[in-house]
Amino acid sequence: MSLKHWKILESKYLYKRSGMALRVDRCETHNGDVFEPYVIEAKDWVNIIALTKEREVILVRQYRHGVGEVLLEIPAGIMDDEDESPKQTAQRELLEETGYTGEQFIKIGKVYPNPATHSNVTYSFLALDVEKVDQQKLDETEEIEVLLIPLDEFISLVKSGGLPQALHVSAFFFAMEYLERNS
Amino acid sequence: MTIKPWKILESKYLFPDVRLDRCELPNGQIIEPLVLDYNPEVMIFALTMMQEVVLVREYRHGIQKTILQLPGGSVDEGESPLEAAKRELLEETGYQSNTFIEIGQVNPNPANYSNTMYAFLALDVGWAHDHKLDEADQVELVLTPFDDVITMAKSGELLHSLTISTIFFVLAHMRRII
Repeated sequence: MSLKHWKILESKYLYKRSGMALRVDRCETHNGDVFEPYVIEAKDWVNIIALTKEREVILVRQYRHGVGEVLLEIPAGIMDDEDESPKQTAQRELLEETGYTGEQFIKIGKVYPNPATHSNVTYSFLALDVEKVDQQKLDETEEIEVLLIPLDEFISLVKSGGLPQALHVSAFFFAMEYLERNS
Repeated sequence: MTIKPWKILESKYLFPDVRLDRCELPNGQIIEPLVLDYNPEVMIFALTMMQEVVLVREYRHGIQKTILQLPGGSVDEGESPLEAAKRELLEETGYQSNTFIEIGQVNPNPANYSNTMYAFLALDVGWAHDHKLDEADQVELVLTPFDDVITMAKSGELLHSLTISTIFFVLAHMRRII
């Protein structure tokens, strides 16, 4: 069985900002149906499970406008045009958001946030033996509180649903797999 | 430290489920984020008696590629997540079960999404012989042994964020993860 791609007849943009655009495509399916789905064109994202030498996980609390709430998350961010690789984005975001960094950033996973409507990819990294080397350097739009919790507590938290966002649960899944395999 | 919410000055819909907000930040700055105001979603990890998982391969227009994932979909108005999980599994794959267990909830991405995805485990699923698939020409069913699905998730062969999250909740539910 071969699943056919849709043919794009025409595209137009309804919204364009740095990092995100809303595109509407006029598409024709293999059986001749024509319809107009939209696509969120987004830059690639990264997220980081960062562990200190004492096996603590670096977490951040910030306001998330999609749900209108302050949430506990792992550090994450958007790839800048100047970033040479997702790894560099992960190093930059962890340092800017938390002031922590380390020698080892290991790429542990890659997922599509939503392949039906988003064009982009999220890369997950595990940063080992991170240390605080600087103060936070936040963007004007960011307000972020940094918390450290022991890895064991973090594992219980995620298993009980305390990290309720898919990209971060995926990162945690990949980190557990890496740590199990390398313990 | 008190983290303050953003104040919404104005909202308009670019699509029935895509909202553009004009927001004032605590520091007075004005920004215009997009919010994906989707209905709740469901995803189903459906296991046959032979311990095979029902995977689906579909064309996804966001990435313009075909990918393998767990079946799932939107919760309709007036429908519970459980009802949606049963309906979506049957409509998309032709499989059904009497045992659906809700195993986890996640937001796809709370920076831009307002909705929740409910993850279900369906046990002893069976083929509904009299069911005609609406999307037969768009969805390819791939029955895969349980252990192979876990290996595929761990090795990076499954690239769908909500699928990986659901598999994590399945393993946590079965106490097969740390």
